[in-house]
Amino acid sequence: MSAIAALPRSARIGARLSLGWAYLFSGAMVLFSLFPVYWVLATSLKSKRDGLASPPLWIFDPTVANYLKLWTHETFRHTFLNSMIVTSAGVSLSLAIAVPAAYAIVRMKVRGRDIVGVWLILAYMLPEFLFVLPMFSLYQWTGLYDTHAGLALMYQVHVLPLSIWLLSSFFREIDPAIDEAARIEGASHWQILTRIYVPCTMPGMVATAILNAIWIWNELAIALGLTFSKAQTVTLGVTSFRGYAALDWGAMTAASIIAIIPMLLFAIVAQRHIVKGLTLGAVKG
Amino acid sequence: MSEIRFCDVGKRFGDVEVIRGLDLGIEEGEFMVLVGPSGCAKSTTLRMMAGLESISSGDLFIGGRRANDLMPAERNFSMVFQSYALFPNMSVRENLSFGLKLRRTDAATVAGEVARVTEMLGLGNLLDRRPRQLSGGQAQRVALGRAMIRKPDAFLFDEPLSNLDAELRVQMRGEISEMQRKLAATTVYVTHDQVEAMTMGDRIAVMDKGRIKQVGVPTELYERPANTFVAGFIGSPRMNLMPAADLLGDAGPTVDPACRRAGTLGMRPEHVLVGHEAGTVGIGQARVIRMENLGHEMHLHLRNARGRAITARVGSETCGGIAPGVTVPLAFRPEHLHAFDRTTGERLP
Repeated sequence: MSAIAALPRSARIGARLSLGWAYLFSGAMVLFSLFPVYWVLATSLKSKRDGLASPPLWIFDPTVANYLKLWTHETFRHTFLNSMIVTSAGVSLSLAIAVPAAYAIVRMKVRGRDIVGVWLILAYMLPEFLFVLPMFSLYQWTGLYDTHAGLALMYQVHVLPLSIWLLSSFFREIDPAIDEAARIEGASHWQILTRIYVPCTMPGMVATAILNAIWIWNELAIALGLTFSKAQTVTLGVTSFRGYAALDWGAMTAASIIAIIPMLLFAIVAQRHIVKGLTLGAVKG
Repeated sequence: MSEIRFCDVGKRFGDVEVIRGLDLGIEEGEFMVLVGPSGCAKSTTLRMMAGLESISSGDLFIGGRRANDLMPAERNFSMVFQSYALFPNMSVRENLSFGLKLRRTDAATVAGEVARVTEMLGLGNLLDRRPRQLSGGQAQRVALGRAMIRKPDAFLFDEPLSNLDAELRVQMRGEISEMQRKLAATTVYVTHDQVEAMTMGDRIAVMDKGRIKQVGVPTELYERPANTFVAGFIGSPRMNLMPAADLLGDAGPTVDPACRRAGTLGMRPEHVLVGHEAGTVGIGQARVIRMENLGHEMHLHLRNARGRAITARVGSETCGGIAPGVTVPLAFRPEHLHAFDRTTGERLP
């Protein structure tokens, strides 16, 4: 504000007005994006009667009954645990493959690097359900259908291109002379990768892992197509509250809130890394 | 220690040939400087020595052994890069000990070697710092320390002082020369700065467009340049080079007929004399265009009767009465004239 105070009167009014518009617009955007979350949260805290009231109740007696119900809901607990397993496996697998792949693309004279680049963009752009249809019978034949491993593997179709693409851009920021200096010192490519590249791009690694985790956690189409009961994920678990003739809105919204929490916590804790990672190299020191 | 020898080496990047027929020998314990303008392939030559670039044709021998296909680590060279290339995630101590630890050297030896190098380069209070916390000079010293600690067979330097300010550059120049003398290590040093080349190298290889134009000790390059390229590149201000008739002007018959027949004549600025003295040959009048006062000496930028630019280097105390616009007589001593072939540009005997 001190900068505004230093301006002449007319310019000061203009500057304050544009600042006011900026706040108003940002506030409207925040409200717009948070309203659905509020609505789901409010519904999850309403009793069955309040939840179905028309017009909707803005003031109500909150209850945690819906959340307590989830505690004993076997399917939801099972799908929640499945999501934890599949997300961990999917993220680990994606980094395990993407880190050396990105290094090879960036620093090694690999033939067909350009073709790999095109494939990365193409695979990322294709709708994930496209892969589910041909994989359905293959998965049943190989025994991967309705397994955690099968799901984590299938998710690589989407998260691997994104990971390789992101990590490649982080690795490109490292001075190639560092790589050469390490080679002259006697380091192998693997040692250079693990001792220099990975520690140097840790914020980028964390950002990539978080983006992958969020995508896998929220994915529905592949889970719907390639699981039946044993490996169903939390997004399917949320829909399990829809019966043949009735919808348990309270439990479903409570399940949605519970499903959001892990990724929300993950993102809050790692927010610093996400910002640092995604802006890695954007400003040179 | 190692002798390094290039035999008819060529290097291509796709269809572009950057080095052709390179023959160069670097003796054991010698300080060889590769110097040349940007894009002359001096860094590529160094990188081929290091094993960072493949060799397209010909042979490279290190210590008598063919080394074309040896991995960088197998050559046991150390290299100091222009950007220092310190590992940003490691402390100075870890940077120094990186190579030794990779070779599974025992901890006590590593600590001893780190202490030795630290002492030698005055890095004592920097050991726990990260590279980003170092100044340019400190980072350069750490890079030097990392190169020294393994006791390599040869040191390779790729324009290591380019990022330093002028004062620090002079200081580091001295330190690198000192270190090389102390260790008596084979050293190959790439630079585009001819002052660095002249002051540091035992021998200098001047390169242009992927070819070596002359190899020799600094005084030889300065006093007897093998061609017009070397004559123009070595020395600052650069040698006055122009067609014989344009330089000699009315000096006519007093000059050696061989020089008169030469296509191009060269004369160092310090050999252009302002005013006649006994034993000198006059080359006519020239107008002073610009004067650069360096304190102890003056650089006079002149234009002669034929419109040719001539630079003269004279002592500041001898410049009384000289000012821009003034016309002065120029002269030279015949033994200071360099003659080059009209078509090839090669030195005439």
